[in-house]
Parts: sequence; structure tokens; C-alpha cells
Amino acid sequence: MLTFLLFTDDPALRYAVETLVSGRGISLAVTPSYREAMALVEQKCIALAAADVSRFPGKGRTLLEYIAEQSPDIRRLALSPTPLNDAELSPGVDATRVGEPYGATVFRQAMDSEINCISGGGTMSNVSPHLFAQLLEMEGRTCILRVFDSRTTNGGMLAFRNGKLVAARFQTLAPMDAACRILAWETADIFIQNAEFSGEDRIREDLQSIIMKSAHLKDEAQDAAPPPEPRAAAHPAAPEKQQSFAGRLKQHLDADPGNLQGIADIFHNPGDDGLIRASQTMGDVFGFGRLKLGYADDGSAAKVFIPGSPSTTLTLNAQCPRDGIIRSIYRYLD
Amino acid sequence: MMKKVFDAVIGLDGVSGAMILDEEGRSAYDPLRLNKMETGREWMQLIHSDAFPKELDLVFKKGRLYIRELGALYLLVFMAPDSPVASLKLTCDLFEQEPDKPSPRKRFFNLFS
Repeated sequence: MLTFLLFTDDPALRYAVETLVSGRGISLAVTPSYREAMALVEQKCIALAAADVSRFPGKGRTLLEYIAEQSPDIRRLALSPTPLNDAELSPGVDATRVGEPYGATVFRQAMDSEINCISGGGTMSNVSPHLFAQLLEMEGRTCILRVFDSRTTNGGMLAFRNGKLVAARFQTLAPMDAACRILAWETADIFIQNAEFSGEDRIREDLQSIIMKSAHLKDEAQDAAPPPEPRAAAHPAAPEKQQSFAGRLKQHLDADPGNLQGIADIFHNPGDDGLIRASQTMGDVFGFGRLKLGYADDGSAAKVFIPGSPSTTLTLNAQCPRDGIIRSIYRYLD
Repeated sequence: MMKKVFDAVIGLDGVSGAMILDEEGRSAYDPLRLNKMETGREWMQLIHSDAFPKELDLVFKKGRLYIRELGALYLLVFMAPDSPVASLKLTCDLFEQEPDKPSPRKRFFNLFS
């Protein structure tokens, strides 16, 4: 099901928009929380995002910029009671400027045009995503697909440019992992948008090898019921290589003369990719170079995350010496 | 409070700088003028990311950044990559546990004032 996001705390706007979308087969996610809005963008297959920039001037624009950068296929709207000039909107944000009275009417217009746009190339029900992708490759098509798994109703995005798969999005997975996951779905409902993906190419491998990996992923999922969400199913790219990295790291830590205790688990975890991307940005801002590792402690549990494709996570218990494990991993990565 | 935290951490071994930011990336206390964020956008993406913890220690190739949530503000400490962080963490823990609490000696004399 297509999902639209509305970032506002205005109950009147919320009510008006809810009334507009009811009965149209659209899921509307409304939140006044910036953090929740970002999580929705990462977790759901959002097709349109509207931010109330009059009530949230800083956070609203930042959210739209974030979406423009991470998911340029999502249409973005800035809602404001007064006209917005170019200086108020950063480059790359495709926003609609709204005059008084603002809100519901404009949102409906955007929603209608977006529905027409998203399914402008047609809709398909209960088709196999990987067969359909091969068809698009043969025809050399340029389009954006919103794909919804028939079984779970989870949604993702695939983008083709001249028949080549160039981008994919599913929850917080890296593009390659997202493509594997979507192409592994048995059947899906597909909305075809006749538009070119505006971002740069995020997938370099050819479709056949991605389909092979997704088939491997499907086999793994069938072996384990219910399908393993975070670990086994999350590393379709190169299982032997990934296992060897985690294994080598474990061997290194076991052999550390500092007698490191308290490592509960080491596993590949694309779930930390969002945090890693944002952390790397801090390194760029302050000229610290490439992120080697991070240590996160939320008061009740601690973990180390290591960037990679996919990233690796070590969960730690209270006995684990913080400085010792950071130093040891830093040396290993050096 | 902000000055106290700053003064306490800036004197620790391995610490090359520190500053305190609000949630939009604006400087709340930055006497060394280390804040290089132009819009605060990158900062907001980090602290509002789903998995952002109370305490984050980022080790980069050329430096280390320790980030600690202090109520509505955030302490950022700059260090060398191999600096120990135990004393820094302990210092922050102490401030968090007893924010602006008078010392036992002061409390005793307060009884007579």
C-alpha cells in the first residue's frame, strides 16, 4: 500500500488530510516528531512526504533535504501559509510553495498528481518481481517501481535506467541488499512510474548476479521459518567473505593479550547503516577522515559498530573493557 | 553547569577540544569556536537517527569524537584516535548524577545561614 507522510502537529491539517485520503487505498503516516518522521522514511515505502515548514521551519526543511539526498524518488512538499522564496528552500528540494489558506487542498492536489504519476506506467498485481525486472532489462526501460510484497505488504523501490537496475530502497538496507530482498519476494504488487531516478547510480552489479543472490536469500528464508529478519537474511551479498571477516575479527579479539571478556556476539548488521552514514558525516565536517568504528552505549547495553558492506556489530556486556576493545579493533582495522 | 562540564573535560589527558551544542547544531557553549557546522543539518541527522544512543564514541582515521547527551544539550569532545575515554566518561557520569548539587560541606553551613 502506498504511504504518504505528513510532518505536522496541526490537528486541523491532520484531520483535513485524513479525510481526503480515507477510502483511497492510501496509508497516511502523520507525526509531529522529527525522529519518527526520519524512521518512517527509512522503514516505510513513502511515496510523498509533506513537511509543515511554518510550524517546524528548521526541522521541516532538514527533513526534506534528508529525503532529497537519501531517497530522491520520494516527492517532497513544503507546506506553509505564506509563499516561500528560493532562499528559504535549499537546492535539490522539490517543494511546493503554498499560499493562504494552506494545507488540505494543496495536499490533495499533490496527492492526486502523485498517484497519477506513481502509477503512470501502469500497475501489476501478483507478479514475480525478479521476472518483471528481467523483462524491464530486456526492454531497456527507464522507470521507477514501487513494489509491495503480496505476503507481508512490505514495500520497496527499484529504479531502472535503460534497463539497468541502478537503485533500490527497502527499509534501512544498503541499495544492493535492498535489491536482493525485493527481488526475493515470491509475488508482489507493482506500481510503475515512467520517470528517471534523479540520484546517481547506487548499484553497480548486473541484474543477473543480483537475482542469483536474491535466490540464495530466498533459500535461506525458506530454510528458517519465520524468515530471519536481522542476521541470517541480512547478508546476501557474499556470505563466505562476510563470515570470514567476522570470524577473523573474533580470532583477533580472542588472541588479544588484553584478555578481552564480555563480547556477547559478532554479526553483520545492516540495521546500523543509518547511524554509520550520519556518523561519517561528522567525520567529514570536522576533518577526521574515514570512520573506523563507533561505540554506542544507551545506558543499558553497549555495542561496537564497524562500517562495511555490510556493516558489522559487536554486542557487549558490562564486563567488556571499553578502551581495550576499541584499541584492539582499531589496531586490527589499521 | 555548561562551563563546569567544559572545564572538567578540557583538562583531561588526550582531549584537544570540546563544545556543547543544542539539538539543532547551534553552539550552546563553544569558547574554542570549534563548531564548523553551517546548517546543523548533518548534526540533526545524527542525533535524530533511529539508533542514536545516549553516548556515542566515534573513532576516525585522524581523530576521535565523543558525544554525550546532557539533558537537552550535547557535549562533543575531540580527542586523538587512541585516547582513553574512561576518565572522560566518569567525569560526565558525575556531572549527570549530581547536577549543580551543593557539596556536603556547603549543605552543612546552609543550616546556619
